[in-house]
Amino acid sequence: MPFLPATRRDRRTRPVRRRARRTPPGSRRARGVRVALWTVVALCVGSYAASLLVPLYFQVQEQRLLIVVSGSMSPYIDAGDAVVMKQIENPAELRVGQVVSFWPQDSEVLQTHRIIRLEILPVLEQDESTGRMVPKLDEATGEPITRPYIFTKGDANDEPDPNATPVNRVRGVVLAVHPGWGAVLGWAHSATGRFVMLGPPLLILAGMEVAAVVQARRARARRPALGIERSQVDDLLFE
Amino acid sequence: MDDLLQEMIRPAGPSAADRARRRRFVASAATVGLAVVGVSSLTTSALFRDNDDAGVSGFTTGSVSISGTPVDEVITTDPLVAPGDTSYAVLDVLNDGSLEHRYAIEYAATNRNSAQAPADRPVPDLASVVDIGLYALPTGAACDAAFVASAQPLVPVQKLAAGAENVLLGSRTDGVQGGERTLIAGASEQLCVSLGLPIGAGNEYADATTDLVFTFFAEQTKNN
Repeated sequence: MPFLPATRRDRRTRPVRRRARRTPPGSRRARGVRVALWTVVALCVGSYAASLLVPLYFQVQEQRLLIVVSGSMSPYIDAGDAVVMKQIENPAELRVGQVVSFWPQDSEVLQTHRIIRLEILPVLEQDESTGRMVPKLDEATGEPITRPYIFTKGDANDEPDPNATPVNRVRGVVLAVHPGWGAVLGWAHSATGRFVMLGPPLLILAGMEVAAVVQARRARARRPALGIERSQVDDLLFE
Repeated sequence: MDDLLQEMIRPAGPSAADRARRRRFVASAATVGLAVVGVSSLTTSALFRDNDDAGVSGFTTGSVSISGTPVDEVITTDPLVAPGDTSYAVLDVLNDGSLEHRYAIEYAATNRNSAQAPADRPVPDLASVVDIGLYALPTGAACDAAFVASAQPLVPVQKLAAGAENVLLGSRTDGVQGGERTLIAGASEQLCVSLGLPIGAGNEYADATTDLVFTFFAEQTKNN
């Protein structure tokens, strides 16, 4: 055991409890600023997280959220609304009057309109001799090959849609409409929305880190030297 | 010295500055993580717009099909039809395909002697003196003299022409040629046809008949 100076014997009987250094209490103003900044960070990040969780919530239930950008189904669905859509597994689930989302025959853009008629049409081929379209026959059974179609119309449109749509191009049936959700979620998921909602928190956090580094350096500069040489410590330790 | 030894034996916990730094790091990591999740397929597949391009299950071609009431309108100059008389007939046109289409109409007119005419009499060209008119018939309207008198014809009233492939409305040539009518999928309409024997038709047209067969030519309107 190393020899300890007599003046420190008392201390040996009383273990010294070490506590972590406490940062000096900031002024009320500084604390308020930190609280405000952290509030901004929490609000922005929390809002963005909510915008991700909402569609995922529906996806977990095997549904999808569709943002409607056209007003052809007004007033039932307005542009900027979001609809909850469920994919259909069986064409027999379709009914006249249902609102469905589908890809029209002439487009790869999803459209949401109401079914006004369901019909089974024959698949046609041109008779080379007469030029007329005749039903195509199944080679195995000799029966005409048919295909189910939906005829649709937007509630706000005067005329039905020009083309019928095969049922296999129906994406899903609309279960519910949430007014205004589409505009909010669409913006949040856009590049602009991500930048606005996540950029400020990252800037704030970076700024707080820089401020902490500067503050730590200033604190070290102000701290007095201990007055103990390194060689003295080594001597005591390895004696 | 005691402080130093105590520091070595029982190191103090993280300082407040370290905890603050850890909070900032966690917050930054969470923010960046959310941004990554936001652009991943996990969320992009849960939310989409109705103007998005998306995969389509299967590629299905539509059909263009038209059916019209073929009219074998018989015009005969027997005592029932006299010069100055006009006959009316309705053509029902149906788009029974799955695509919107435009259609044109041609007709074939065949002259013949009616049963009352002598068998060896040369067939008069009755078609060349008969006037044909074509009108769009509104739903619920009757195709008769009163309607024709006030309606706008789809094509100018013209003399029939004997033979086949006589153009009546539009053109069978691909693309918009002018004059064709458009029908959306599943839609139907009626056309009113008037056939008139002018008051000045001579005796050579007595006991004569013209048979008319109308042929419809339909093509898709999309991309055409």
